[in-house]
Amino acid sequence: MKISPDQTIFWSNGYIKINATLVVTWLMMAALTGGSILATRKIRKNGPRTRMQNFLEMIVLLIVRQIESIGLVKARRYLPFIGSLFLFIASSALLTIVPGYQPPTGSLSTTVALALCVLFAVPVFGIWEQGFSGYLKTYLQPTPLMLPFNLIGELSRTLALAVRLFGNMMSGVMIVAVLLTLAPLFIPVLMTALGLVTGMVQAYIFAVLTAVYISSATQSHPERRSP
Amino acid sequence: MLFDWFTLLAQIVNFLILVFLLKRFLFKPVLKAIDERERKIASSIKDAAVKMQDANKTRDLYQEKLEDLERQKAERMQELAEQVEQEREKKLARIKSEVEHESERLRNALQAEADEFAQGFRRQLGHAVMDALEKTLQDLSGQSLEQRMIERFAGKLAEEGPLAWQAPESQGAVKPIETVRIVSTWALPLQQQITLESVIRSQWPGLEAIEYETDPAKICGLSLHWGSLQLNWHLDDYLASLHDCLDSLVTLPEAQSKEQGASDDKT
Repeated sequence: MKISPDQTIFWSNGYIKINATLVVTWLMMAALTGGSILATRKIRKNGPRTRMQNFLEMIVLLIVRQIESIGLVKARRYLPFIGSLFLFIASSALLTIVPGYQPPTGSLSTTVALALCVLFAVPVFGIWEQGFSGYLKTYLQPTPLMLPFNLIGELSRTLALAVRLFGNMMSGVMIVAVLLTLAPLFIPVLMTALGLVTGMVQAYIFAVLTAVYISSATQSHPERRSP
Repeated sequence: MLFDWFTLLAQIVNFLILVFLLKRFLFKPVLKAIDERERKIASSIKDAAVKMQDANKTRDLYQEKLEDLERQKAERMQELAEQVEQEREKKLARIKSEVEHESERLRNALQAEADEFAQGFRRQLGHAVMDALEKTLQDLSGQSLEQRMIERFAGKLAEEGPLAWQAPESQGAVKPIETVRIVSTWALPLQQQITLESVIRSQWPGLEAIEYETDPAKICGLSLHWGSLQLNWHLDDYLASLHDCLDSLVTLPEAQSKEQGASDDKT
């Protein structure tokens, strides 16, 4: 049994390996992009809207409001990054209903890549909002003595993001695979449904935590700096 | 190994590409559509607010105009009511005047008619009475009545004398007696002529002649003519007195009705 889709290699040339993670990711990217193009091709700015347009607007506005509720006032600035994270992870989880499908988020490489994206996006957005010095000062809060702990916190939460998503998605697939061998009729269906819920929850958690990290990096804390 | 560096780098690149693609083909068009719609809704709301403001201004303007019209209407109605009242009073006064004038005219006409009727009635009554009396007297007249008339005429002449004679035109001085003319209804018998001449001559000793004439129009009586003076004794005098009495009897109710009409007008 292959724990990670990384182990399914379709093509390799030295260091370069085209495995199932990459292929599925590309398919998903193509599906998301193609679906977006198709859905937004006949989008109407005035007049009656199609059901697909209503669905898209509902999803987008839901993500925007979630970001705003976390504290990011300029939610639309962070929408592409956080929204893409949520849609990618949620799509990966939803497609587990397809037999033989291995979600790319079940690969530690993918989750670590996403966590690293978050790790680098947080300072980028922080510097964008507060400037370079303003962002660096956040590591000295509440006292400069906290600098090492803040750095460790940055790394540990990135690691937590990656491992949490990987563990949940991989375990779900593993549980279904094990149960298929033990009770192949109804139990795997229930576990797949549970895996759908778990995947959606993980997508939500990943996106919300990303928003929280960006929010903490982009918002200054004058009460902390004031003596 | 669960971790592959190439896959990790590739996934980072893949994710960044996915972010770009979704931003380009999903988030941006959807947000643009939403913004456009919200902008249009906001514009519509703003236009509606402006239109509402204009409508409120127009409504206030028309409300003021309506109030002005109501006020003008009330004033005009008041003026019209006053004019109607004045016109009504004028017409009432004119109609009252016309009615009074017409009533006066009718009353006068009625009075004239009543007077004419009364006059006619009196005339006819008088004529009827006179005709009846005349006929009665003519039927009753005879020697004895004529004799009595002569005696009465002679007695009157003896009592009053020539100075009591009345001139039909003026009281003149007594002229010297030359001729006396006696007019009677019927021819006087000789005996009566003698009686009458004796009385006349006793009153006028220088009398030269006495002439006798008849006038059937006279009713049972005698007239003595002396120049422009004359002495009459006729039943015409009595009949005239009777005629006056009948007139007073007929006209009395008319005078009373006139007085009653005048008192009604005053009330």
